[in-house]
Amino acid sequence: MISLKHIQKKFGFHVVFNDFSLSLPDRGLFLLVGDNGCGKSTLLYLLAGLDDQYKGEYLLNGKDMKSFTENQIDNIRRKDIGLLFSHGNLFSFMNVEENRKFDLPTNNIRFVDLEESQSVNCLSGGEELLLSLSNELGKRKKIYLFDEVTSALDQGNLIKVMDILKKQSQESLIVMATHDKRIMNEAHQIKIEANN
Amino acid sequence: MNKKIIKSVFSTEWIYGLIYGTFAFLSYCLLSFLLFDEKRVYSEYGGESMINGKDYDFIDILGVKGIARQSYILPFFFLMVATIVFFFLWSYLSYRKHCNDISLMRVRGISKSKSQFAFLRARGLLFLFASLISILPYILFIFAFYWVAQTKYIIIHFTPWVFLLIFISLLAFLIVSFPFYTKPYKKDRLIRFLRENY
Repeated sequence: MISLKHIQKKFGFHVVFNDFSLSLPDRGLFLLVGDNGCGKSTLLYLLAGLDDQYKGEYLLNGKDMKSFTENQIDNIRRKDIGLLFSHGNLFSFMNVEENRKFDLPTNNIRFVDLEESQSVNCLSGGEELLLSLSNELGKRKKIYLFDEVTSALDQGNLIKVMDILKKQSQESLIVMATHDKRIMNEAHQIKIEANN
Repeated sequence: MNKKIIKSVFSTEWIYGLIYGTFAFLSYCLLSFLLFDEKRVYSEYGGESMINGKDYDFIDILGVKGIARQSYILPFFFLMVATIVFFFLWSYLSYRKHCNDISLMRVRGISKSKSQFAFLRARGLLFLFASLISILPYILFIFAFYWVAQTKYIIIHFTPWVFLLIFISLLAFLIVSFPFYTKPYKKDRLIRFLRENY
């Protein structure tokens, strides 16, 4: 489904990927692991179609991402790719319910009990993340890209989230950049090294 | 979603709308003084009878007649410059307020027109609202002016040129605001922003 071939990526003189190749299947849970600055987040942005400043080929379902227009990539991201950060991805101008139903009015998935009319600015980091996660998973996208989403979770919520992700990974591809040692044995690991 | 964005912009930026409304009100008043037509007043009311009357003195004090009228050009010019500077400040502060939400919208695949430009449109609406509401105190000012002056002569009046001023100001507002809704959301800057904030 996802195929990266001979990717080269630089930030100025700093080479992040020298000749990086990777193939990922349609479904499964994969962890991107590696030291700080090795390129985990860069890879997620690239996979999400946000970053097109690279050399090489990124094929999504056999089609080169560079052949799509910006609007087409926006559409792909909206329909098929969910990107989630450690602080969640909630809109501050919407309350809990509006965020939950945004883009998906029938979303009834709840990982955490919250007052619907509550402002999202009052939520804790863990609550924000669980709400964001339920919003994203409710959309049943084909690919999920998560950046350090488990770091802020306590053990109880971590187990809950990992169970959900494992279940979801039977239908979708989930790629998660992480440093969280608690989950290292929970999924396939993709080791990223500096200057790959 | 557009309604949410409009509601958000109106509730978080009303103070800027209020400040701009004050600028607009002052500019309408100055425009009226600038457009005072001495010849019209003379021809309509027989200037000779005014020359030695209290009405003439009043006009003289206001400085809207003859060369003295030019003294309104400079304050009007400074007001316009201050308004443009205020547009920059407003746009920057608005960017700071909404950049997280707009960035997240871009990340979540929402198109430019539904994210970046939806906020710009909402601010344009707030601008128009403030501009049009300011016409009310302007009309009240004209009534108050005649009540204070107790003159039978129409010296200043409501001028339809305020609508042209609103249109030009709207253009200036959009031109100043536009870069704040495009440049920060170009891919390289967006990624840098995401790295720093998420």
